Amino acid sequence: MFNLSLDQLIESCKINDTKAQSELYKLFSSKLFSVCLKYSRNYAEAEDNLQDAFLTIFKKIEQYKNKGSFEGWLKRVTINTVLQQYRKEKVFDIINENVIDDVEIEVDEDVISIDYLLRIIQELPDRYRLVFNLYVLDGYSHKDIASMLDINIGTSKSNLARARQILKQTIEDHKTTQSLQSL
Amino acid sequence: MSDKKHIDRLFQEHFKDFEATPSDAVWKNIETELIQDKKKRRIIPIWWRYAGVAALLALLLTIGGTYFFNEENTTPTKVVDTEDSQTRSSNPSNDTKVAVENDNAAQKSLEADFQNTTKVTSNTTEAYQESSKANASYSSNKNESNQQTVLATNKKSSLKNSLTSSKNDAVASNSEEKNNTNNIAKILNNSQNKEDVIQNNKPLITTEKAKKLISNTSKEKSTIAKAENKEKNSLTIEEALDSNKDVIENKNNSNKWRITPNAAPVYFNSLGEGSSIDPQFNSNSKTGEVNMSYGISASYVINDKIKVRSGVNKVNLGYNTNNVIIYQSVGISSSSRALENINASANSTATDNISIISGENLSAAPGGFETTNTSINQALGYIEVPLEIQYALVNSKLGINVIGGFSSFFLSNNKIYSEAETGTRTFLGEANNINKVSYSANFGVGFNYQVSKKIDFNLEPMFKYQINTFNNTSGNFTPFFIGVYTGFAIKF
Repeated sequence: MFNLSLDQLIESCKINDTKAQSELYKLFSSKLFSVCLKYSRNYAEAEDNLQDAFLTIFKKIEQYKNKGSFEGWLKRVTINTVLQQYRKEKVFDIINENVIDDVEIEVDEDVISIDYLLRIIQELPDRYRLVFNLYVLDGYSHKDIASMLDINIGTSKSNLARARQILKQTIEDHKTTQSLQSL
Repeated sequence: MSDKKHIDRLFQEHFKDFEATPSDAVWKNIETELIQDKKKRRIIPIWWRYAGVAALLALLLTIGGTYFFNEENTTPTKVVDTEDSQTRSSNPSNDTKVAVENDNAAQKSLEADFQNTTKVTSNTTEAYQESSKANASYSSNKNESNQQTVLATNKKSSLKNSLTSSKNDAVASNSEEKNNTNNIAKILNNSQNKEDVIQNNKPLITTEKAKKLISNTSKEKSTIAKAENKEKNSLTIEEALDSNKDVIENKNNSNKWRITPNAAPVYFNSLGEGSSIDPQFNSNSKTGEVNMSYGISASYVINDKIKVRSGVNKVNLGYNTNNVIIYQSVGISSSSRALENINASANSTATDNISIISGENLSAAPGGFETTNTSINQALGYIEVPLEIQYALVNSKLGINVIGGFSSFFLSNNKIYSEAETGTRTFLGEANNINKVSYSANFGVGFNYQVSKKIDFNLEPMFKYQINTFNNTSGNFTPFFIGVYTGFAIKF
């Protein structure tokens, strides 16, 4: 039942029906906004990216041929829109680093809020944030990431390792401050 | 309390069902953009339809205008000098009548002028029908001088108009000049042909000829009528341009343009039976030649479906008239054998003493001379300026398009050779019946394969039906050519 109406919604969006576009936005904006938040530096930038992403979606919805999940397609378009932004800014013109050994990093499970985690992701340097999101949270392979970001696989791996280390360090520091405060 | 966990798992678990609601402002912005987008999409294709017509008109009129304007200054004086007296004596009454009409015309508006011109032409048409065969050629000269007067008055009135709306006038006066000069050129050619014939002491002005002249005049009539329409069109184009200026400026030009260097083998032939060289070859077999066309084109992407393109191409065309007999003859008799539509080359010694006849009526060949079975090769070279619209049927990695449009051709090479069985090639001269500017209607199918994001490979079989290529062909000679255009499109 839901699928049928979604299909109809997609078809209406293809002919630029404003009401259908509004419906589609209502259905998926929260989901896609979470994607934008993860990949952007802050809230304001995430909103800008969400706006660009939806404009791209409405422009390219004609090309969606009912292959694979629609939500997956929306996510891909959104991620690509955000990446496009960084490509424009040339953040990927970085010298390759040596691959750091992919060590296992353990953290103490605690009551860590999603807002906190989101904040520390956003605070990561751009390239670390993008690679960490793509690999850990959105399940892309290093090969995919390498081609999406136009870097080589080694760079992708080393960036991921660096991202993990920074995140671990940040969380541990945070805990120390908290426990110190509580004392 | 402290449960050891991989950092990836920590983030994955927390972000699994993560959703966040953006502020309302985001949708408001999207909505405004979408509405603007819709407006843009609606306006641009309409503007481009006008712009396409405007661009083509401007191109044709400018080039045609300058080209014929130059010719007008040099050649007409010569012809008027030689036959002026004959013209007057042949039909003085008609002359004055036209003059009176022209006076009136000067006082009337621009449109009225056009109507008058049509009248003048129809008058001369009547003159053709009434006058005898011989008179036909003289009245064609008269026609020319009349039109020059009309041209002058037209210019005057367009000056007046220029005070009110300068832009429109530029286009209008251009079209007038072009038409009038075009007609003059045609008539000149006709009268030159007649002159030749008369000098050769051959009373060859047959009824067929007279008919042709009449049909020429009626063509002129229709071109003038067309010019009127064109003028009206151009007014709306100007308006459209003005009203849509802002939209153009706002337009985003990412990857909208592509430049395509291209090359194509072209095959030239005629649809009907006939000859562009001489009536005696009407029934001879003709074989088309495969030549090359190469050039560069630029296209603009209007939307996902439609592209407009133009460019410049150098195109060589040629065909052979087979089963022709060339024989050596002695003395002056050769001149009477000259082919109707060839101006023999002045410095070619070969043409002085050879004659050419069709092998189809072999009996005409005087015996006792050495004969060889050869063919006549007509070679044409043009600079082609196409204006075409591409409509995409399939728009994926492999795209399929239908292409339609037309081309203007500017003559750059014009030679006629005789080619013996043995392979000897002799330059005979230039054809005198080829229009300096001609047109074609183009149809074709285009295939393009996306090699990379920036480069497409194109393959386009095109059919081009030529219009107004020859002004005096015998039989039903309707030339066309087929080309398979290939090239790489570079997008930017």
